[in-house]
Amino acid sequence: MVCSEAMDEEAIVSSTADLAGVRRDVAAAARRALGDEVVPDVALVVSELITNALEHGSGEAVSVAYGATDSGFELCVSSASTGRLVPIQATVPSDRHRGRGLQIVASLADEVSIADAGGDIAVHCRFVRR
Amino acid sequence: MSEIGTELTITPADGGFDLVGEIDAHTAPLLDAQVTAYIGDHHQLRLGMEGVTFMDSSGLRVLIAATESCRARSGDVVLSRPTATVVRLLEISGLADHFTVSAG
Repeated sequence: MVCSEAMDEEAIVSSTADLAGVRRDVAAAARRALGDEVVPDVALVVSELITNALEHGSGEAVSVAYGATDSGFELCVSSASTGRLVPIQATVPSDRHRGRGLQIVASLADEVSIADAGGDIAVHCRFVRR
Repeated sequence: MSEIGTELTITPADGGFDLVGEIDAHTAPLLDAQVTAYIGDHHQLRLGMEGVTFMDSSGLRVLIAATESCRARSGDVVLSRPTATVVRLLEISGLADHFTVSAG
């Protein structure tokens, strides 16, 4: 597992049927850490990251780790990948149907990093307390 | 765990559908199927978005494809009364000007 072990809570997602429940749990934790304002952004980011991991992953379950930190809220989504890192694009043309998810993530999270550890891809996002 | 349909309700309405619930990778295929069937017979589609409490890029993909299909036949997709969360998604994605949005 390439996500940091410092986060309090974890969820395992095996299919899109789990998306709504995990989104709610992660958003509730973000609300406790940072307040109501951040909830829509965190819900959108976690949804995009899990969807991306399920689409591009090897078919194994996706792991979501999250929790409050001293400076805010952190979220890490990891999966065994098919091995191709998708570059984050600043803008996606409106006629493109895919590739939009990570652009949304990059514009909402304060910090995004992508780690590749032996085929496991982890996307780590930080939301900073304001 | 929710079943398909429990998170997103798609109700036939004047000129299209009213949507209530969440549009994500789980529910977007259901929306896509309904919308695709509808615009097979129509080049104009109205989607009532007032009850959409969440949407991500999976939903955007459905809206973009439907809009392209309708505009190719001189029609359009109208997003009626989108919630703040949907408007924000359109803005973040740089698509706020791409869609026809109606307040009615």
